[in-house]
Amino acid sequence: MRLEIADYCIRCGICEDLYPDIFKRNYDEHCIDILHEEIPADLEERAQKAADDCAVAAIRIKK
Amino acid sequence: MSKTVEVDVAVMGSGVAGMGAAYKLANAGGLKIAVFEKYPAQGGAVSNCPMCFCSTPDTPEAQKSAYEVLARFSNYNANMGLISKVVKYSSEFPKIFLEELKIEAPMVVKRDPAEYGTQRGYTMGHANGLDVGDIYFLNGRGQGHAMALALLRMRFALEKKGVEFYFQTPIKEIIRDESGKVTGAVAYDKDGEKIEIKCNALVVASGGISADLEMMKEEGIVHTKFEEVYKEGTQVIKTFPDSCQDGDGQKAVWAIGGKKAGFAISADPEVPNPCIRIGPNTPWFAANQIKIVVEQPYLRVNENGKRFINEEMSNQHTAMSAAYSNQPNMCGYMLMDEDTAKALEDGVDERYVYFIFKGMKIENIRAQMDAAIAAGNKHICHFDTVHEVAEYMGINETELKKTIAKYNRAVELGYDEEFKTDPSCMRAVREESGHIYCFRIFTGAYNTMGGLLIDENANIIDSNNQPIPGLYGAGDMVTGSLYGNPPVNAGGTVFGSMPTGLLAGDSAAAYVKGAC
Repeated sequence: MRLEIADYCIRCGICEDLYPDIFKRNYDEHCIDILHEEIPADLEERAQKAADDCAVAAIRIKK
Repeated sequence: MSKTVEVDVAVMGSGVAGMGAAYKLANAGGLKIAVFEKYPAQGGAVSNCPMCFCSTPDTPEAQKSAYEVLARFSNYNANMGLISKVVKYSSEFPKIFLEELKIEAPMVVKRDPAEYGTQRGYTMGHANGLDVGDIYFLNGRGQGHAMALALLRMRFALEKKGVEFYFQTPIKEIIRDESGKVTGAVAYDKDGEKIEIKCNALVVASGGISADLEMMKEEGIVHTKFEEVYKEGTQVIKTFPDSCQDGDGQKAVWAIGGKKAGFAISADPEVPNPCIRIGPNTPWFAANQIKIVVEQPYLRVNENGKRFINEEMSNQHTAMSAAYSNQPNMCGYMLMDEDTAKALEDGVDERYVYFIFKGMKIENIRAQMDAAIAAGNKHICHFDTVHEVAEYMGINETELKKTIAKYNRAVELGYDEEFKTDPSCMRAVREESGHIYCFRIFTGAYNTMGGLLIDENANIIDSNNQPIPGLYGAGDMVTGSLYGNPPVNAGGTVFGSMPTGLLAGDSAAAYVKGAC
């Protein structure tokens, strides 16, 4: 599983607050860094939840 | 070589005000519109705060009552014609957000117009002055804020109507011709390439100055030895920490003769982060409960050890923020003892919590504080004695002890001679209880308000109070014209910011179409 973030992401950082093992806000670049190029199997469920929790549906799952 | 963008109307900022303007401009039909936003995405500060909005129904009773409350709230220092229009535009919110943008409002609190302005504490999380209509509580997507979703949908809807959005492209300069009309602007894209904008009207809605501590100090809204709490959004300024809200709209307007107005920090008293509250502003996350505790109506003192307000106002953000701003180092201190901490384990005072925290129990506040202290928070403490608390926090110990003795006597008597606080809100602070807790609280902020003023058509005015042709203003930056100049710490909010955007859009459309 891979994640990508749409350009309309508002960078609110809720994903990092809830899933710091997957996301990190990058204040310098005004973006959200995804910490894993390939989401490890044990984090896939959390990645799915993160996509569901996003305020603007900006987290997309690429299988 | 610079690029040129030619439109009928340009909008600076894509927050709730800029979007409101673009919405009306797009609905006017036949206009070419472009929105220039310095942040990489739409939404502005409001994407990260409210879960609700206040809307005044379009009935004569409601409109009149809301008008009168706001006019009094401003001490008649606002533009009264503008107030009237803002109240009217707010009646469109349910249509825009619920019907058109399909945002769900699972709870609507209908207010009696005769009672506007009388509700203390939470209305839409802010001031009495905003208790001027029905309160719509909204559902966002997932764990997010409803306004984030609303403004994303607004962007998509506007793009479908042909509105162009330029992100990471701040407008830095406004052009006027010899007759004084605004004819264009200059923006820079993210690579620094210059963009010449040719337009017949410009709506400036670029928000606050909270990303620029030096400017906040120059404008006199930050003056404290704890100024680090106002830096970079990680502590008190808690919307988008990288929001880029650096006052470029205000500066560009001042440079062409716009009237300079006062500033205020919008209200939401806070114990500074880190480790108090997860996220920029997401109180519904199960997190540290200190924010909830410091909205309870317990003893407040300043650094001199003296009380300064009736603590029953503790959940009234405008009142408390104004009061904290006026204390030494712009902060106040809340004190409670072990008996109160134990009482919190049975439940919070329901009058003093946001609706989503009804029935909340605060279990083991001491451990929560310890976790925050261990992570570096220096604005909270707990000790066995008042002496240790005063020493750690830097509060005048002699005065603090006198204040506590007097306050405790008032609790016993059930009468607070000094501040007339409701006795049901008062809790003694006694060392004999075993422990004393203390929290340093600052005027928090989603943003700043102020800088520019507009007339009743949302036309930005010059230093002679004359409208500048073709130049319109909206949102947090013009709240001085709505709440009084300088704006009180009321919070911009949807009510404070979007109607001026809607008005600016309608006025600019009429202007470029030659109707006025």
